[in-house]
Amino acid sequence: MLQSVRGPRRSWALGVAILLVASSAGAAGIDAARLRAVAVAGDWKQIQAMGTGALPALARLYEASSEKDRATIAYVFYSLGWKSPDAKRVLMADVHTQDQALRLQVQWALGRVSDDADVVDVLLQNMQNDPVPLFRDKAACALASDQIHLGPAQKMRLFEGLVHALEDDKVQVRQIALQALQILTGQTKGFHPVADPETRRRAVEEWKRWLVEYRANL
Amino acid sequence: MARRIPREPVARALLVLLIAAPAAAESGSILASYSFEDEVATGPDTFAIFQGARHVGTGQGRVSLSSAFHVSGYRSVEIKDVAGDGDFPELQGYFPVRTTGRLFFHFAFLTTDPKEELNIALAGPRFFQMEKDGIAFWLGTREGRIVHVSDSIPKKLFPVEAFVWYGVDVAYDIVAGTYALTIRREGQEAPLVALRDQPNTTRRPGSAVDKFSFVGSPYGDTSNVVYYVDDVVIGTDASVTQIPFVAPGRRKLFVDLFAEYQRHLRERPRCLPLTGPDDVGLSSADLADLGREGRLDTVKRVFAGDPVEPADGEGQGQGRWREVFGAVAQWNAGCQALDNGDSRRALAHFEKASASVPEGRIFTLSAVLALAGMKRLAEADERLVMLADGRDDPRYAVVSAYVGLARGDLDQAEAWLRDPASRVLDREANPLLALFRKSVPADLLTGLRARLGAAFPGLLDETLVAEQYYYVQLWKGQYDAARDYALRMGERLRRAGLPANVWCERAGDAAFYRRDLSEARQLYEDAIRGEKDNGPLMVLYLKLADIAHLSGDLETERALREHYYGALTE
Repeated sequence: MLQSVRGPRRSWALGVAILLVASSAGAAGIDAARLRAVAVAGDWKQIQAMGTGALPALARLYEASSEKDRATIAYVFYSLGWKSPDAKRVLMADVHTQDQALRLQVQWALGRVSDDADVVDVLLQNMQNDPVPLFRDKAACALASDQIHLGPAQKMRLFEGLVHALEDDKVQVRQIALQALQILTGQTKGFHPVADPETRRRAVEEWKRWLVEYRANL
Repeated sequence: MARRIPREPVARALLVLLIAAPAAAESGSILASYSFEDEVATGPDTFAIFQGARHVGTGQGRVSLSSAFHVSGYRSVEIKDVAGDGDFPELQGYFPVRTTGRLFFHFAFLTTDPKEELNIALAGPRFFQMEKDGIAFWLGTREGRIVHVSDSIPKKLFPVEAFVWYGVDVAYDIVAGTYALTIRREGQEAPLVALRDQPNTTRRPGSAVDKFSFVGSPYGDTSNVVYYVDDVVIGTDASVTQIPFVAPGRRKLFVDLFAEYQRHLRERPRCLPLTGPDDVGLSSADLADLGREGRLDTVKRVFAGDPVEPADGEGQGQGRWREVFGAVAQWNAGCQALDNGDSRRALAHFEKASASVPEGRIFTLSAVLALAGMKRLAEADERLVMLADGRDDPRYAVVSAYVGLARGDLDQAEAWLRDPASRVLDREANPLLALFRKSVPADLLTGLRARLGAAFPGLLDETLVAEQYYYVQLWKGQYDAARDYALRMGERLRRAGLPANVWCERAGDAAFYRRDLSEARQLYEDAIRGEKDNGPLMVLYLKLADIAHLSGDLETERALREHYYGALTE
């Protein structure tokens, strides 16, 4: 699974991507042609300099672009890490696309533009039910590493979904759900994806007890 | 404006630690203690100050000394984060890694706005990750409340008051992976919080610790916190002898280790000392098992240099540590044989140890010495290559020199430099030149062996001879020759289109050893110019700081050291 690594030294935010300076800028000041040029080039630093005012225009540009360019713009959204309802709306429209490059970029970007519950839900759904194993795996990566705006209460929904996925019939789903839980909590609670059903059931019970305690502390 | 606060000097903090740990009163040690009155040099053995810990260049936060508030003395540290600036400030402190026993962490903090997030942690060699040997203890403020993250759950404690000092005491049982947490409010004797047996952050027994950290909001970049920290004390219930500082912020210069190990091997081949539990493949989980089985005394004996009997590895209990003790017993027997001049017998023991615990580096290093003693140099070379990921370990350098001395025909290394067509410097003819890089992927050797077939042993020999030749010159004290060779190797590699930074640094090391500090400085600066990885850069900058220290250039020493470790100023 993908784990983001950044910075010249290992620090608190390893595994958590950089949030960038969100200087405010009016949409009126955005040069559409220039925005398009830098966006399809993936030059997010130029867009960062334009400020959050560029986001609505960037979302519109995304909608009007080819799949290839949408993948690049999704990467730009990911890199910026700015919350944006516009970005979330257009990315959600592609969250089931079969275009591989676009799907991966969209799944990774969603948690970095929104803390809405339906983003967590759709990624959990993709992780468990998408017919393509790669998409399932990368959805788990996104859940583990890219839900950067979630507070403790919002994380509860994420943890519940991951624990639920430990009971999935597919070994891969159990494996990637466990990996996501391990990245987020540092724990496995003794769960092994290929253990016999009874052993797995006992470990899942451990996780459920943990969920109860987590909820009690909210 | 200074605020009147109750007296709670560091002496009291130390007393609290000793009361919390009666054993510490008799044999415990204070590993670090800062009240921020006296200037403390930043460095790898003290602490680092990051005004912007992510180094993205946009950080507006700050860590600084302040006389506005304090517990003891007249100063504390002010940590100020700025939301949305893409970075966060950090005070990150270091102490010798602790894998067993109890660790005591005391500090006081005062926040000016409880709603703003702050975070304080103890962590281990895996830094601040949610895993074993990562974060072990984590305290923070969330929406006006103090929380501690235990069992991966943020657990609320109490609402924080602004402009009030809180004294925090953590007693962390490393083997059990649990801690006791006591928090007192200024002016109140009874603690606000007195918790026992709390699972550590990731509920991982045996999670090692070697650093602490005070930050604002490292994850969400949402905090505008301004808070103050005073009287940071780290103690342990074990007796830990720390060598004195030899230069600001550090207890050992790089050059000292090579000379120390060289002295060890000069008379005859013998085992080099252990430097940590991982030398014999002991993980933190193993240590936790040992603690539960009441067998930590055996570990202490291992590291005190006492022989481990085979029975120690065959005793009661389960767990991988039994394999490790068996391997250590074999290693001890091998060392004894090596001491007696019986390299063949020694090798048999080392190989058994290595087969049992392949990750035990000391077993392989020892096998190389035994093989060199028997002049089985091709096999020694192969094992040396397998250790290449630990080339920064001075023991690797010394063992490499020892193999070179045993080889005795190192003149070919010179001949290769004179021969412009030499395949040892021809990337096409010798793919093993990739091994000149500092980091060798684990599967590289296997792949190259398969690819090169019968030519592999000869090419490996040629490749390592250059390195061994260099280390032999150092060993013999022929620093000029070592420097010249390294410079020429660097030049040839550059012409072959290969990275030459390692040889530039080695030339600098040779100049350093002969105390030609001016040339060493120049060579390190050259190496810095061609280096992009932060790890090697840090080493190079610290070497430059060593040079400045030895030159009496305190200002430059400080500037270079603080280039990486930052500075704590008003």
